[in-house]
Amino acid sequence: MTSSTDMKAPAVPDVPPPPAPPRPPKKARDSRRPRAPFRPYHLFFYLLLGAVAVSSISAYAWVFNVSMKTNGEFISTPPWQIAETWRWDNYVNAWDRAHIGMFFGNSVLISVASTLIGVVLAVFAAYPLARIAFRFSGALLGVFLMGLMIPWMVTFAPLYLIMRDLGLLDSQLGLILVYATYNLPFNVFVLVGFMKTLPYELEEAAAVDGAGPARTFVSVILPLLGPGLASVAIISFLQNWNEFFYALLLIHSPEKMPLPLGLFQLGQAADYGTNWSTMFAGMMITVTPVLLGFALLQKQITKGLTAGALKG
Amino acid sequence: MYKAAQRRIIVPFLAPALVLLAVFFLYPLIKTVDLSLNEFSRTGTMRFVGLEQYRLLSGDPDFYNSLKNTFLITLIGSGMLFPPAVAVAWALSQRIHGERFFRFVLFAPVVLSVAVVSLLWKFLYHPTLGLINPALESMGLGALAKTWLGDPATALAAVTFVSVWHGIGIWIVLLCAGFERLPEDVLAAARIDGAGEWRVFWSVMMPMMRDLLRVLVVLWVVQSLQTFAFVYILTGGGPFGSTDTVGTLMYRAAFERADFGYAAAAGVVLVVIMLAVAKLLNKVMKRDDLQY
Amino acid sequence: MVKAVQKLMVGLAAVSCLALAACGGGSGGTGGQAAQKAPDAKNWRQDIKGGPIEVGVLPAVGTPSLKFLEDIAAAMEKDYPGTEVKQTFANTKTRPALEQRWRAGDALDVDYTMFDGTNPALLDWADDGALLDLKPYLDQVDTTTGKPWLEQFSPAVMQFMQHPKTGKVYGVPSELSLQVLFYNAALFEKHGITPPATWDDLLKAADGLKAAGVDPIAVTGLFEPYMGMWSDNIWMRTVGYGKAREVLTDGKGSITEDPGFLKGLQMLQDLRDKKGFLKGFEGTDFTAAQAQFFQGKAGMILMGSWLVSEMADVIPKDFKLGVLQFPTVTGGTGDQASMLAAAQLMSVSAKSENIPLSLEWVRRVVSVETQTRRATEVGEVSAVKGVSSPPGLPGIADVVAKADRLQAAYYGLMQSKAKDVVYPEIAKLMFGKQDAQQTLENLDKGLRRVHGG
Repeated sequence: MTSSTDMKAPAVPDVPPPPAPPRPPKKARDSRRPRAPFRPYHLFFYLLLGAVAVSSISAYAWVFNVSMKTNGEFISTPPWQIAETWRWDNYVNAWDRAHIGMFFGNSVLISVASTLIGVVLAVFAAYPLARIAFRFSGALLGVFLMGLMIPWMVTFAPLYLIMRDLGLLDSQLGLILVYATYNLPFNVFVLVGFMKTLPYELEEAAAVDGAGPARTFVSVILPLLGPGLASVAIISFLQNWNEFFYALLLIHSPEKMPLPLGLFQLGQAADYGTNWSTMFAGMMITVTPVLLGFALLQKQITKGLTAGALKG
Repeated sequence: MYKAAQRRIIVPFLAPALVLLAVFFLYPLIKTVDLSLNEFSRTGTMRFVGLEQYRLLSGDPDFYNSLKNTFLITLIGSGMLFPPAVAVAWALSQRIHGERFFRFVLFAPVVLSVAVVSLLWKFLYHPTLGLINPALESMGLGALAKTWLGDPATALAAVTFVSVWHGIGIWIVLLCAGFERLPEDVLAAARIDGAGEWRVFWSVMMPMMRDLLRVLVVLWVVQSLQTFAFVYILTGGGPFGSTDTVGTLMYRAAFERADFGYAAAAGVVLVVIMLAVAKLLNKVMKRDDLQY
Repeated sequence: MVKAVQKLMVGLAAVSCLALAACGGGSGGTGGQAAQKAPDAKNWRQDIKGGPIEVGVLPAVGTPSLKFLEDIAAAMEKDYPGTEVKQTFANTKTRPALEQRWRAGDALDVDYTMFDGTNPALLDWADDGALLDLKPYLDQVDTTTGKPWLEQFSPAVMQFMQHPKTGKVYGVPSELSLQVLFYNAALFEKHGITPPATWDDLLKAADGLKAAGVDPIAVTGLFEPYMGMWSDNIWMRTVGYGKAREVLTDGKGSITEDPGFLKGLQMLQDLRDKKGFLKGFEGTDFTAAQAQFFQGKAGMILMGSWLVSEMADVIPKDFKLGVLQFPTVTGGTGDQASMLAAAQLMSVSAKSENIPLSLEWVRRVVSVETQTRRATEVGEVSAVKGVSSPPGLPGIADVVAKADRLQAAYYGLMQSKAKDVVYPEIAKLMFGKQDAQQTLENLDKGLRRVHGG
């Protein structure tokens, strides 16, 4: 399907960046970039940020508002009208119907485990691809890139058969491995991009200090990846948290199902039974912990960045 | 010597990821090529037909139409995505007031499911009950009111916009990580040299971010060429095929008609196109010999 | 394969044109592999033993429709110790995953959408021996009624249940959907508009509604097959079901041959030019279109009879609904009394480990008792004789009585490539992008392409 030349000359960054100007290793960057003083063009920033922020907050406000309406209210009032009363029983319904309590634990387990595997394996794979010149590095990166091009409408059938042969059907481990695998290409791709921007003296200096390559990787490179690592972790996690089709395909027992399958039923009840409020309530229930997690993680990113910068 | 030591870690570092990739991705993908050479019955029995599916594909106007739309989405979407995403990430990197809050809020839509976001925008776009048309009318811009999703002239852009709106947080997070990692001393040096902020951004930051941007553009292209979910829910490919993408075409072939051979052939062609475009982009966006 | 399908379709066309009840006698036939391990049909009910079975269900979790099925499952678990009925959601969007399970030999015991005698694309599973021939069981006398089980069903639905070539039965309908014209009876009364019986009435009603400041007809522009319901029904009246199906589905003859096609398109164009459809329908999705009808913003909607059970929760209490058959066309050369319909069919896997228990599940779902409860409480239309019409659909009994024949909705196009030709062209016509003549030409071109004419 592709000629060998395609594989040899992969569509990925393959030229090492020119060496950055040597920097005194101890000085490094400031632990945290200071807040820039206000400049007139910041107005433009605020305007842009404000617009995007307003749109996303209104989306949540809308979802929340609808989750407080009855279905009749939802359909008979303009979509933007405020709900008549606080109607928390939609939440109770959603919790019961979508088996959120049961599915939630499954989702946490599956998403966390697959994200962890996907990120850890990607970091290890990205390092040699980004920082070590070897014969097939370009081709291998090309293979990972191809992983981003899954025509899942077709590959799902052979995937199902191989999962069956491996005894991984209807198993959370199977789903975890599939998710981790489908996170890998993106993670590797992004991390290679990040790692290439690090100055090459880092390794050289470590080598002079007598550190082996594995140790150099763990103690010098890894800490510098803070923000990049956090971003791919968040993105992988979200993907795994929201993924629906492979879960539907590979998990058959209700007690093993993740949340999107529960939400899916709520969505179908909305489509074929006008049960919108419950779906929106279910959405709010499942989104809130993720948002909270993200808020907390954001601090970690900042911390990670600071720590990385200090060590560098 | 260090180089030799480095070489020894290549295999153990790469092997686990490659094993997973081989089993769960490469094998199914190779199998897909195999499927594309067969004709299927709904029950899965197949018959080898050689390149017949590709011949059918090449004579199918729906396929060309879906290819055209897919490229349009990629193009229009990159225009909708990158300028604001870069601007926002730049703004956040300046640590303006409320940076944390904005960061959080910008990312929030990503967490919502495609189904809910689609429903929301179906209402926003609704020609009479929606928010956009009445707003335009109240501003005296009634002439701009459209049946957004129902007009072949606007449907594609409208669908693309929803998918960009939903996903922009991810790109902002990645771009922010890029901005954060720019060496402060270089920026400071530029500022000391008297460069204005705009100049620092354009002539110092952007060139340094070039590798990352290239990666992100390639990612966007590869991702948007596979556009499926929002199109499927918002318009189902209509009106009359004006938003039909290769993704929705494959979905119909595989899941409605159980025509796996045809869907696989379309998938293989799409993968080849993606590889070619990604390679081309890399050539075009390749770093000039920049010094910084 | 194409040849085989074409052959099947010839047979299908022939069979579906007959009154199907007549075919009932020719059972047996050459036993496929399906029958091999199937239990003796005579006393299958005595053979029922408890055990685990997995059954596909259409209603989503938490909906009233699912409650009935859960009750049946509970009763079976009580009656046959050791029984465990696993209910797996089997609606449209789960089909890819579930069909993959069938392909991999991991089928559900009872599933939906595996067979439809009127749809050439849905005969494959039966032909490959994946489904149990239910005919022998349906021929057994049901002790509760004293008649063969098969006679429980309206003869009009036999065409869906039965394989057009072999006469074997592979599906049993748990519910029926009929394409009918709903109207807002209160609105019609208030403005002195007569519910339309003919196409001319319909045009008059549209004028009346417009004069009253109401959009005449709600329709979604975002789902093409729902717009296609209009051309489907019109063509049934102006061309006739059999002939239209030959051209559209079987690819026999050309759409330009029978003048009824152009006439039908012209009628649709007239309705469009009258501004008969909801303002902004092009960008209105089906939920919103239906909502606008129930809010009195549109006077009529052509929809499946599921509309009422689907919207049950949100129909205003004082809403007065009327139900009509699709208007007849005076001077039309097609079928004036037929009605388009679809059946939701349950099929049993030939490889099921517990066929008697699976059959028992099917039997209970379609029992008069369950069907009656579903009709009265949820508003589903039943294919079982003696089940009262849903009270939420006033007048549906008359409408059904007037119909001389049920015909397959969408002409059995939905799983075919021709669907992607026909409905987009109809949408273009309704959107005002082309006139009737251009539509006909494009349809002709497209149909020739997909049918290899």
